[in-house]
Amino acid sequence: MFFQQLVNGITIGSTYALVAIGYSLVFGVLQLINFANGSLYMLGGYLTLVMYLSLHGNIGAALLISLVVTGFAGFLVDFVGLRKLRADNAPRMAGLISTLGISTVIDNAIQIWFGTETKAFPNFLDFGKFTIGKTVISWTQIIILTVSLLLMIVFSLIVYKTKAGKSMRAVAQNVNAARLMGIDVKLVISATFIVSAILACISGSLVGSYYQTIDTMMGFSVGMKTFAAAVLGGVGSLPGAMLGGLIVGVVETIGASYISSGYRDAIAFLILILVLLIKPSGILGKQKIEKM
Amino acid sequence: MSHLKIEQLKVNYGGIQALKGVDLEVREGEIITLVGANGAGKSTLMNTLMGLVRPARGHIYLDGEEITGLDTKKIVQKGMVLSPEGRQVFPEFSVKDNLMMGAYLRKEKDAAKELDTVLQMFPILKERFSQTAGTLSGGEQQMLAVGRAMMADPKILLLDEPSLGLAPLVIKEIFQMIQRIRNMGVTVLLVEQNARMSLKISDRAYVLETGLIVASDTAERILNSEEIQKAYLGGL
Repeated sequence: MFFQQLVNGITIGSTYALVAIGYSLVFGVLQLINFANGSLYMLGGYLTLVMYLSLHGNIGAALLISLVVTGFAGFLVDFVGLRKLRADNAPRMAGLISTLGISTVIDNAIQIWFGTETKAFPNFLDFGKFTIGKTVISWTQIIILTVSLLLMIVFSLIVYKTKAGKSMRAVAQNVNAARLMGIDVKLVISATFIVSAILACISGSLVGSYYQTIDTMMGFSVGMKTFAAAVLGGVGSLPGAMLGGLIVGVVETIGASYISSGYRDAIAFLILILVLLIKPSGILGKQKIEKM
Repeated sequence: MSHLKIEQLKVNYGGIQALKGVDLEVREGEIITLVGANGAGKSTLMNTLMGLVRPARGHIYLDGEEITGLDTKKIVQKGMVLSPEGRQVFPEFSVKDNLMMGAYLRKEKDAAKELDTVLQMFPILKERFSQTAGTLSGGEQQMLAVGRAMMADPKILLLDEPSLGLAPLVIKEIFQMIQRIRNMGVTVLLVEQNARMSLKISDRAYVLETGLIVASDTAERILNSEEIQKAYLGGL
Protein backbone atom coordinates (compact mmCIF):
# COMPACT_ATOMS: atom_id res chain seq x y z
CA MET A 1 0.00 0.00 0.00
CA PHE A 2 2.69 2.45 1.01
CA PHE A 3 4.84 1.78 -2.04
CA GLN A 4 1.82 1.93 -4.26
CA GLN A 5 0.99 5.38 -2.92
CA LEU A 6 4.62 6.42 -3.18
CA VAL A 7 4.68 5.52 -6.88
CA ASN A 8 1.40 7.35 -7.46
CA GLY A 9 2.66 10.34 -5.48
CA ILE A 10 5.94 10.62 -7.36
CA THR A 11 4.08 10.42 -10.66
CA ILE A 12 1.69 13.24 -9.87
CA GLY A 13 4.44 15.13 -8.05
CA SER A 14 6.62 15.17 -11.15
CA THR A 15 3.81 16.87 -13.06
CA TYR A 16 3.44 19.41 -10.23
CA ALA A 17 7.16 20.05 -10.46
CA LEU A 18 6.84 21.12 -14.10
CA VAL A 19 4.23 23.73 -13.17
CA ALA A 20 6.13 24.83 -10.07
CA ILE A 21 9.19 25.55 -12.25
CA GLY A 22 7.07 28.13 -14.07
CA TYR A 23 6.29 29.97 -10.83
CA SER A 24 9.93 29.94 -9.82
CA LEU A 25 11.24 31.11 -13.19
CA VAL A 26 8.90 34.07 -13.42
CA PHE A 27 9.46 34.95 -9.79
CA GLY A 28 13.20 34.77 -10.32
CA VAL A 29 13.10 37.17 -13.24
CA LEU A 30 10.34 39.59 -12.13
CA GLN A 31 9.90 38.98 -8.37
CA LEU A 32 6.27 38.39 -9.20
CA ILE A 33 3.93 35.44 -8.75
CA ASN A 34 2.23 34.68 -12.06
CA PHE A 35 -1.19 33.52 -10.90
CA ALA A 36 -2.20 32.82 -14.50
CA ASN A 37 0.19 29.85 -14.49
CA GLY A 38 -2.48 27.42 -13.25
CA SER A 39 -4.91 28.62 -15.91
CA LEU A 40 -2.30 27.99 -18.59
CA TYR A 41 -2.00 24.45 -17.23
CA MET A 42 -5.73 23.94 -17.73
CA LEU A 43 -5.70 25.73 -21.09
CA GLY A 44 -2.95 23.38 -22.24
CA GLY A 45 -4.99 20.34 -21.21
CA TYR A 46 -8.11 21.59 -22.99
CA LEU A 47 -6.25 22.56 -26.16
CA THR A 48 -4.62 19.14 -26.35
CA LEU A 49 -8.04 17.51 -25.97
CA VAL A 50 -9.72 19.73 -28.57
CA MET A 51 -6.91 19.24 -31.06
CA TYR A 52 -6.88 15.51 -30.41
CA LEU A 53 -10.59 15.29 -31.21
CA SER A 54 -10.51 17.54 -34.25
CA LEU A 55 -7.38 15.86 -35.67
CA HIS A 56 -9.02 12.43 -35.28
CA GLY A 57 -6.60 11.09 -32.73
CA ASN A 58 -3.28 12.39 -34.04
CA ILE A 59 -1.83 13.02 -30.59
CA GLY A 60 1.57 14.20 -31.81
CA ALA A 61 0.15 17.03 -33.91
CA ALA A 62 -2.42 17.81 -31.21
CA LEU A 63 0.29 18.21 -28.57
CA LEU A 64 2.44 20.31 -30.85
CA ILE A 65 -0.36 22.76 -31.66
CA SER A 66 -1.39 22.88 -28.02
CA LEU A 67 2.21 23.67 -26.98
CA VAL A 68 2.55 26.47 -29.50
CA VAL A 69 -0.79 28.07 -28.63
CA THR A 70 -0.28 27.80 -24.86
CA GLY A 71 3.23 29.17 -25.26
CA PHE A 72 1.79 32.12 -27.12
CA ALA A 73 -0.83 32.58 -24.39
CA GLY A 74 2.04 32.68 -21.88
CA PHE A 75 3.70 35.38 -23.95
CA LEU A 76 0.42 37.33 -23.96
CA VAL A 77 0.11 37.17 -20.16
CA ASP A 78 3.27 39.27 -19.99
CA PHE A 79 2.75 41.33 -23.14
CA VAL A 80 -0.84 42.33 -22.37
CA GLY A 81 -0.89 42.16 -18.60
CA LEU A 82 2.51 43.21 -17.37
CA ARG A 83 4.71 45.02 -19.88
CA LYS A 84 2.91 48.34 -19.61
CA LEU A 85 2.97 48.12 -15.82
CA ARG A 86 6.74 47.63 -15.86
CA ALA A 87 7.24 50.55 -18.21
CA ASP A 88 5.25 52.74 -15.80
CA ASN A 89 7.17 51.43 -12.77
CA ALA A 90 3.87 50.30 -11.26
CA PRO A 91 4.04 48.64 -7.83
CA ARG A 92 4.50 44.88 -7.86
CA MET A 93 1.06 44.35 -6.40
CA ALA A 94 -0.46 45.74 -9.61
CA GLY A 95 1.28 43.02 -11.62
CA LEU A 96 0.04 40.38 -9.23
CA ILE A 97 -3.55 41.55 -9.55
CA SER A 98 -3.12 41.71 -13.32
CA THR A 99 -2.10 38.04 -13.53
CA LEU A 100 -5.05 37.13 -11.29
CA GLY A 101 -7.32 38.99 -13.71
CA ILE A 102 -5.87 37.21 -16.72
CA SER A 103 -6.27 33.91 -14.91
CA THR A 104 -9.98 34.67 -14.43
CA VAL A 105 -10.35 35.60 -18.09
CA ILE A 106 -8.78 32.31 -19.25
CA ASP A 107 -10.82 30.22 -16.78
CA ASN A 108 -14.10 31.84 -17.76
CA ALA A 109 -13.34 31.71 -21.48
CA ILE A 110 -12.85 27.95 -21.21
CA GLN A 111 -16.03 27.59 -19.18
CA ILE A 112 -17.99 29.49 -21.83
CA TRP A 113 -16.56 27.53 -24.73
CA PHE A 114 -16.53 24.04 -23.29
CA GLY A 115 -18.98 24.17 -20.42
CA THR A 116 -18.21 23.50 -16.79
CA GLU A 117 -18.78 19.76 -16.81
CA THR A 118 -15.87 17.32 -16.56
CA LYS A 119 -14.61 16.11 -19.95
CA ALA A 120 -13.30 12.67 -20.82
CA PHE A 121 -9.66 12.76 -21.85
CA PRO A 122 -8.05 10.02 -23.96
CA ASN A 123 -5.23 8.08 -22.35
CA PHE A 124 -2.71 8.29 -25.15
CA LEU A 125 -0.06 6.82 -22.87
CA ASP A 126 -1.91 3.54 -22.16
CA PHE A 127 0.53 0.69 -22.77
CA GLY A 128 -0.66 -1.62 -19.99
CA LYS A 129 0.77 -2.16 -16.53
CA PHE A 130 3.00 -4.51 -14.59
CA THR A 131 3.45 -5.47 -10.93
CA ILE A 132 6.48 -5.49 -8.69
CA GLY A 133 5.56 -7.38 -5.51
CA LYS A 134 2.19 -5.93 -4.59
CA THR A 135 2.81 -2.61 -6.32
CA VAL A 136 1.04 -2.03 -9.61
CA ILE A 137 2.88 0.32 -11.97
CA SER A 138 1.32 1.42 -15.24
CA TRP A 139 3.31 2.42 -18.28
CA THR A 140 1.40 5.69 -18.14
CA GLN A 141 3.12 6.43 -14.85
CA ILE A 142 6.52 5.41 -16.17
CA ILE A 143 6.11 7.64 -19.22
CA ILE A 144 4.87 10.63 -17.19
CA LEU A 145 7.76 10.30 -14.78
CA THR A 146 10.31 9.85 -17.57
CA VAL A 147 9.02 12.80 -19.59
CA SER A 148 8.91 15.05 -16.52
CA LEU A 149 12.37 14.09 -15.31
CA LEU A 150 13.85 14.44 -18.79
CA LEU A 151 12.30 17.88 -19.14
CA MET A 152 13.69 18.90 -15.77
CA ILE A 153 17.18 17.69 -16.69
CA VAL A 154 17.18 19.32 -20.13
CA PHE A 155 15.76 22.45 -18.66
CA SER A 156 18.34 22.63 -15.86
CA LEU A 157 21.11 22.16 -18.41
CA ILE A 158 19.73 25.04 -20.45
CA VAL A 159 19.42 27.35 -17.45
CA TYR A 160 22.80 26.54 -15.90
CA LYS A 161 24.99 25.77 -18.90
CA THR A 162 23.90 27.75 -21.94
CA LYS A 163 24.35 31.41 -22.74
CA ALA A 164 20.57 31.87 -23.00
CA GLY A 165 20.13 30.33 -19.56
CA LYS A 166 22.85 32.49 -18.10
CA SER A 167 21.25 35.62 -19.50
CA MET A 168 18.03 34.57 -17.77
CA ARG A 169 19.86 34.12 -14.47
CA ALA A 170 21.66 37.41 -14.96
CA VAL A 171 18.31 39.19 -15.31
CA ALA A 172 17.10 37.41 -12.17
CA GLN A 173 20.10 38.69 -10.18
CA ASN A 174 20.23 42.27 -11.42
CA VAL A 175 18.08 43.60 -14.26
CA ASN A 176 19.98 46.84 -14.51
CA ALA A 177 23.38 45.18 -14.78
CA ALA A 178 22.00 42.63 -17.24
CA ARG A 179 20.80 45.44 -19.47
CA LEU A 180 24.24 47.07 -19.29
CA MET A 181 25.81 43.84 -20.56
CA GLY A 182 23.67 44.21 -23.69
CA ILE A 183 21.17 41.54 -22.72
CA ASP A 184 17.74 42.06 -24.31
CA VAL A 185 15.73 42.00 -21.08
CA LYS A 186 12.32 42.12 -22.80
CA LEU A 187 13.25 39.07 -24.82
CA VAL A 188 14.43 37.19 -21.73
CA ILE A 189 11.18 37.99 -19.89
CA SER A 190 9.05 36.90 -22.85
CA ALA A 191 11.05 33.69 -23.16
CA THR A 192 10.54 33.00 -19.46
CA PHE A 193 6.76 33.27 -19.78
CA ILE A 194 6.71 31.15 -22.93
CA VAL A 195 8.79 28.39 -21.35
CA SER A 196 6.65 28.43 -18.19
CA ALA A 197 3.50 28.13 -20.27
CA ILE A 198 4.92 25.26 -22.32
CA LEU A 199 5.87 23.35 -19.18
CA ALA A 200 2.38 23.95 -17.76
CA CYS A 201 0.84 22.74 -21.03
CA ILE A 202 2.87 19.52 -21.02
CA SER A 203 1.96 18.94 -17.40
CA GLY A 204 -1.75 19.58 -18.02
CA SER A 205 -1.79 17.20 -20.97
CA LEU A 206 0.05 14.46 -19.05
CA VAL A 207 -2.31 14.78 -16.08
CA GLY A 208 -5.36 14.74 -18.36
CA SER A 209 -4.11 11.51 -19.84
CA TYR A 210 -3.30 10.09 -16.38
CA TYR A 211 -6.72 10.76 -14.83
CA GLN A 212 -8.51 10.52 -18.19
CA THR A 213 -10.61 13.54 -17.29
CA ILE A 214 -10.15 17.27 -17.26
CA ASP A 215 -12.32 19.97 -15.79
CA THR A 216 -12.31 23.74 -15.57
CA MET A 217 -11.34 23.77 -11.90
CA MET A 218 -8.09 21.84 -12.38
CA GLY A 219 -6.20 25.03 -13.18
CA PHE A 220 -7.14 26.69 -9.93
CA SER A 221 -6.46 23.73 -7.68
CA VAL A 222 -3.20 22.67 -9.33
CA GLY A 223 -2.14 26.30 -9.71
CA MET A 224 -2.47 26.79 -5.97
CA LYS A 225 -0.84 23.45 -5.12
CA THR A 226 2.14 24.06 -7.37
CA PHE A 227 2.45 27.56 -5.97
CA ALA A 228 2.65 25.88 -2.56
CA ALA A 229 5.27 23.52 -4.02
CA ALA A 230 7.34 26.43 -5.33
CA VAL A 231 7.19 28.14 -1.92
CA LEU A 232 8.13 24.89 -0.19
CA GLY A 233 11.18 24.46 -2.40
CA GLY A 234 12.10 28.12 -2.13
CA VAL A 235 10.58 30.52 -4.65
CA GLY A 236 13.08 31.49 -7.30
CA SER A 237 15.07 28.27 -6.89
CA LEU A 238 14.83 25.89 -9.82
CA PRO A 239 15.93 22.70 -8.01
CA GLY A 240 13.70 23.84 -5.14
CA ALA A 241 10.64 23.95 -7.40
CA MET A 242 11.30 20.43 -8.64
CA LEU A 243 11.83 19.09 -5.13
CA GLY A 244 8.79 20.98 -3.83
CA GLY A 245 6.60 19.56 -6.59
CA LEU A 246 7.66 16.00 -5.84
CA ILE A 247 7.18 16.44 -2.07
CA VAL A 248 3.70 17.94 -2.42
CA GLY A 249 2.70 15.13 -4.80
CA VAL A 250 3.95 12.37 -2.49
CA VAL A 251 2.63 13.89 0.74
CA GLU A 252 -0.84 14.61 -0.61
CA THR A 253 -1.14 11.15 -2.16
CA ILE A 254 -0.03 9.36 0.98
CA GLY A 255 -2.10 11.70 3.14
CA ALA A 256 -5.16 11.09 0.99
CA SER A 257 -4.86 7.33 1.35
CA TYR A 258 -4.03 7.20 5.06
CA ILE A 259 -6.19 10.05 6.34
CA SER A 260 -9.01 10.71 3.90
CA SER A 261 -9.10 11.41 0.20
CA GLY A 262 -11.32 14.39 0.99
CA TYR A 263 -8.31 16.12 2.49
CA ARG A 264 -6.21 15.69 -0.64
CA ASP A 265 -6.25 19.35 -1.68
CA ALA A 266 -6.09 20.62 1.87
CA ILE A 267 -2.76 18.90 2.46
CA ALA A 268 -0.88 21.06 -0.04
CA PHE A 269 -2.15 24.19 1.68
CA LEU A 270 -1.32 22.80 5.10
CA ILE A 271 2.24 22.41 3.77
CA LEU A 272 2.13 25.99 2.45
CA ILE A 273 1.02 27.37 5.82
CA LEU A 274 3.64 25.34 7.70
CA VAL A 275 6.42 26.48 5.38
CA LEU A 276 5.40 30.11 5.67
CA LEU A 277 5.32 29.82 9.47
CA ILE A 278 8.50 27.82 9.97
CA LYS A 279 10.86 28.54 7.07
CA PRO A 280 9.41 31.15 4.70
CA SER A 281 12.47 31.03 2.44
CA GLY A 282 11.72 27.36 1.64
CA ILE A 283 14.01 24.35 1.55
CA LEU A 284 16.50 25.58 -1.05
CA GLY A 285 15.57 29.26 -1.14
CA LYS A 286 17.79 32.17 -0.33
CA GLN A 287 17.51 33.63 3.15
CA LYS A 288 16.60 37.06 1.91
CA ILE A 289 12.88 37.41 1.38
CA GLU A 290 11.47 39.95 -0.98
CA LYS A 291 8.31 41.52 0.30
CA MET A 292 5.46 41.01 -2.10
CA MET B 1 38.32 64.80 -32.17
CA SER B 2 35.20 64.79 -30.11
CA HIS B 3 34.42 61.26 -29.05
CA LEU B 4 31.30 61.80 -27.00
CA LYS B 5 29.25 64.93 -27.32
CA ILE B 6 26.20 65.85 -25.28
CA GLU B 7 24.01 68.77 -26.32
CA GLN B 8 21.30 70.42 -24.23
CA LEU B 9 20.34 67.15 -22.56
CA LYS B 10 17.16 67.34 -20.50
CA VAL B 11 15.91 64.41 -18.47
CA ASN B 12 12.85 64.06 -16.28
CA TYR B 13 13.27 61.38 -13.69
CA GLY B 14 11.01 60.43 -10.83
CA GLY B 15 8.79 63.48 -11.31
CA ILE B 16 11.59 66.04 -11.23
CA GLN B 17 13.76 67.57 -13.92
CA ALA B 18 17.03 65.83 -13.11
CA LEU B 19 19.02 67.31 -16.00
CA LYS B 20 18.11 70.78 -17.21
CA GLY B 21 20.15 71.14 -20.39
CA VAL B 22 23.60 69.61 -20.03
CA ASP B 23 26.38 70.22 -22.57
CA LEU B 24 29.47 68.08 -22.29
CA GLU B 25 32.24 66.90 -24.54
CA VAL B 26 34.75 64.09 -24.19
CA ARG B 27 37.68 63.89 -26.60
CA GLU B 28 39.47 60.73 -27.54
CA GLY B 29 42.02 59.52 -25.00
CA GLU B 30 40.93 61.87 -22.23
CA ILE B 31 40.02 61.19 -18.65
CA ILE B 32 37.12 63.48 -17.78
CA THR B 33 35.75 63.88 -14.29
CA LEU B 34 32.21 64.91 -13.54
CA VAL B 35 32.09 66.47 -10.08
CA GLY B 36 28.88 67.14 -8.21
CA ALA B 37 27.08 66.72 -4.91
CA ASN B 38 24.61 63.95 -4.18
CA GLY B 39 21.47 64.40 -6.27
CA ALA B 40 23.13 66.71 -8.79
CA GLY B 41 22.14 64.30 -11.56
CA LYS B 42 25.46 62.55 -12.20
CA SER B 43 24.10 59.00 -12.22
CA THR B 44 21.06 60.11 -14.20
CA LEU B 45 23.43 61.46 -16.83
CA MET B 46 25.35 58.16 -16.95
CA ASN B 47 22.14 56.13 -17.19
CA THR B 48 20.82 58.38 -19.93
CA LEU B 49 24.04 58.02 -21.92
CA MET B 50 23.61 54.25 -21.74
CA GLY B 51 19.98 54.31 -22.85
CA LEU B 52 18.64 53.13 -19.48
CA VAL B 53 16.77 56.41 -19.06
CA ARG B 54 15.16 58.24 -21.97
CA PRO B 55 15.90 61.94 -22.29
CA ALA B 56 13.07 64.43 -22.72
CA ARG B 57 15.21 66.59 -24.98
CA GLY B 58 18.68 67.01 -26.35
CA HIS B 59 21.20 64.97 -28.29
CA ILE B 60 23.97 62.50 -27.58
CA TYR B 61 26.60 61.81 -30.25
CA LEU B 62 29.17 59.04 -30.18
CA ASP B 63 31.91 59.49 -32.80
CA GLY B 64 29.68 61.95 -34.61
CA GLU B 65 26.75 59.54 -34.80
CA GLU B 66 23.57 60.31 -32.89
CA ILE B 67 22.78 57.65 -30.28
CA THR B 68 20.01 59.45 -28.37
CA GLY B 69 17.27 57.03 -27.37
CA LEU B 70 18.99 53.93 -28.74
CA ASP B 71 18.70 50.62 -26.88
CA THR B 72 21.45 49.88 -24.37
CA LYS B 73 22.47 46.86 -26.45
CA LYS B 74 23.18 49.07 -29.48
CA ILE B 75 25.14 51.55 -27.40
CA VAL B 76 27.31 48.79 -25.93
CA GLN B 77 27.91 47.48 -29.45
CA LYS B 78 29.04 50.93 -30.52
CA GLY B 79 31.73 50.86 -27.85
CA MET B 80 30.38 52.78 -24.84
CA VAL B 81 30.17 50.77 -21.63
CA LEU B 82 29.19 51.69 -18.06
CA SER B 83 30.50 50.25 -14.83
CA PRO B 84 27.51 51.24 -12.69
CA GLU B 85 27.30 52.80 -9.26
CA GLY B 86 27.36 50.27 -6.46
CA ARG B 87 29.32 47.80 -8.63
CA GLN B 88 26.27 45.62 -9.43
CA VAL B 89 28.19 42.42 -10.06
CA PHE B 90 26.10 39.25 -10.39
CA PRO B 91 26.45 37.87 -6.86
CA GLU B 92 25.58 34.25 -7.66
CA PHE B 93 27.86 33.99 -10.68
CA SER B 94 31.52 33.09 -10.41
CA VAL B 95 34.13 35.72 -11.23
CA LYS B 96 34.60 33.96 -14.55
CA ASP B 97 30.89 34.03 -15.43
CA ASN B 98 30.66 37.69 -14.42
CA LEU B 99 33.51 38.54 -16.76
CA MET B 100 32.03 36.47 -19.57
CA MET B 101 28.72 38.31 -19.11
CA GLY B 102 30.61 41.50 -19.89
CA ALA B 103 31.42 40.05 -23.30
CA TYR B 104 27.81 38.94 -23.83
CA LEU B 105 27.54 40.57 -27.26
CA ARG B 106 30.91 39.38 -28.51
CA LYS B 107 31.95 36.17 -30.22
CA GLU B 108 33.08 33.31 -28.00
CA LYS B 109 36.60 33.46 -29.42
CA ASP B 110 37.03 37.21 -28.90
CA ALA B 111 35.66 36.87 -25.38
CA ALA B 112 38.19 34.16 -24.50
CA LYS B 113 41.03 36.33 -25.78
CA GLU B 114 39.75 39.37 -23.89
CA LEU B 115 39.52 37.27 -20.72
CA ASP B 116 43.29 36.74 -20.77
CA THR B 117 43.91 40.46 -21.17
CA VAL B 118 41.53 41.40 -18.35
CA LEU B 119 42.95 38.77 -16.00
CA GLN B 120 46.42 40.14 -16.65
CA MET B 121 45.17 43.61 -15.79
CA PHE B 122 43.49 42.42 -12.62
CA PRO B 123 45.57 39.61 -11.12
CA ILE B 124 43.28 39.47 -8.09
CA LEU B 125 40.45 38.28 -10.34
CA LYS B 126 42.62 35.41 -11.49
CA GLU B 127 43.06 34.36 -7.87
CA ARG B 128 39.32 34.49 -7.27
CA PHE B 129 38.44 33.06 -10.67
CA SER B 130 35.92 30.38 -9.63
CA GLN B 131 34.66 32.07 -6.47
CA THR B 132 31.14 33.53 -6.57
CA ALA B 133 31.17 37.29 -6.83
CA GLY B 134 29.01 37.71 -3.72
CA THR B 135 31.87 36.41 -1.57
CA LEU B 136 34.40 39.02 -2.79
CA SER B 137 35.39 42.09 -0.78
CA GLY B 138 34.16 45.52 -1.88
CA GLY B 139 37.44 46.37 -3.58
CA GLU B 140 37.55 43.05 -5.40
CA GLN B 141 33.96 43.51 -6.53
CA GLN B 142 34.87 46.92 -7.90
CA MET B 143 37.80 45.42 -9.81
CA LEU B 144 35.40 42.79 -11.11
CA ALA B 145 32.86 45.42 -12.17
CA VAL B 146 35.51 47.33 -14.11
CA GLY B 147 37.00 44.12 -15.52
CA ARG B 148 33.53 43.06 -16.63
CA ALA B 149 33.06 46.39 -18.41
CA MET B 150 36.46 45.99 -20.08
CA MET B 151 35.38 42.59 -21.42
CA ALA B 152 33.15 44.45 -23.87
CA ASP B 153 36.27 46.06 -25.37
CA PRO B 154 34.97 49.62 -24.91
CA LYS B 155 36.24 52.67 -26.77
CA ILE B 156 34.83 54.83 -24.01
CA LEU B 157 34.37 53.63 -20.45
CA LEU B 158 31.93 55.31 -18.07
CA LEU B 159 32.73 54.81 -14.39
CA ASP B 160 30.07 55.71 -11.84
CA GLU B 161 31.53 56.18 -8.35
CA PRO B 162 34.20 53.48 -8.54
CA SER B 163 35.69 54.40 -5.17
CA LEU B 164 32.42 54.46 -3.22
CA GLY B 165 32.71 52.78 0.17
CA LEU B 166 36.26 51.53 -0.31
CA ALA B 167 39.31 51.80 1.95
CA PRO B 168 41.86 54.54 1.07
CA LEU B 169 44.50 52.04 -0.05
CA VAL B 170 42.06 50.29 -2.34
CA ILE B 171 40.91 53.65 -3.72
CA LYS B 172 44.48 54.43 -4.67
CA GLU B 173 44.68 51.16 -6.51
CA ILE B 174 41.43 51.90 -8.34
CA PHE B 175 42.72 55.26 -9.56
CA GLN B 176 45.97 53.70 -10.74
CA MET B 177 43.89 51.18 -12.63
CA ILE B 178 41.89 53.95 -14.31
CA GLN B 179 45.14 55.50 -15.55
CA ARG B 180 46.28 52.15 -16.91
CA ILE B 181 42.98 51.78 -18.75
CA ARG B 182 43.45 55.19 -20.36
CA ASN B 183 47.00 54.25 -21.35
CA MET B 184 45.51 51.29 -23.19
CA GLY B 185 43.72 53.79 -25.42
CA VAL B 186 40.33 53.79 -23.72
CA THR B 187 38.65 57.14 -23.11
CA VAL B 188 37.27 57.50 -19.57
CA LEU B 189 34.36 59.51 -18.23
CA LEU B 190 34.46 59.38 -14.46
CA VAL B 191 31.83 60.33 -11.92
CA GLU B 192 33.23 60.69 -8.44
CA GLN B 193 32.39 61.92 -4.97
CA ASN B 194 36.08 61.62 -4.22
CA ALA B 195 36.70 64.66 -6.39
CA ARG B 196 40.21 65.47 -5.25
CA MET B 197 41.75 62.17 -6.29
CA SER B 198 39.83 61.90 -9.53
CA LEU B 199 40.74 65.47 -10.53
CA LYS B 200 44.40 64.65 -10.01
CA ILE B 201 44.34 61.97 -12.71
CA SER B 202 41.95 63.80 -15.06
CA ASP B 203 42.60 66.04 -18.04
CA ARG B 204 39.46 68.11 -17.78
CA ALA B 205 36.47 68.33 -15.48
CA TYR B 206 32.86 69.44 -15.39
CA VAL B 207 30.95 70.53 -12.31
CA LEU B 208 27.30 69.52 -12.21
CA GLU B 209 24.91 71.30 -9.85
CA THR B 210 21.21 70.39 -9.65
CA GLY B 211 21.04 69.36 -13.28
CA LEU B 212 23.20 72.09 -14.79
CA ILE B 213 26.89 72.32 -15.69
CA VAL B 214 28.13 75.28 -13.63
CA ALA B 215 31.84 75.05 -14.44
CA SER B 216 34.12 73.31 -16.88
CA ASP B 217 37.86 73.67 -17.16
CA THR B 218 41.12 71.76 -17.00
CA ALA B 219 41.15 69.42 -14.03
CA GLU B 220 44.04 71.33 -12.51
CA ARG B 221 42.24 74.66 -12.56
CA ILE B 222 39.06 73.15 -11.16
CA LEU B 223 41.10 71.52 -8.42
CA ASN B 224 42.68 74.85 -7.53
CA SER B 225 39.60 77.03 -7.87
CA GLU B 226 38.65 78.39 -4.48
CA GLU B 227 34.92 78.32 -5.08
CA ILE B 228 34.89 74.70 -6.10
CA GLN B 229 37.16 73.69 -3.28
CA LYS B 230 34.71 75.20 -0.83
CA ALA B 231 31.69 73.62 -2.42
CA TYR B 232 32.91 70.14 -3.35
CA LEU B 233 36.32 69.40 -1.95
CA GLY B 234 35.64 70.39 1.64
CA GLY B 235 38.41 73.01 1.73
CA LEU B 236 42.02 72.11 2.25
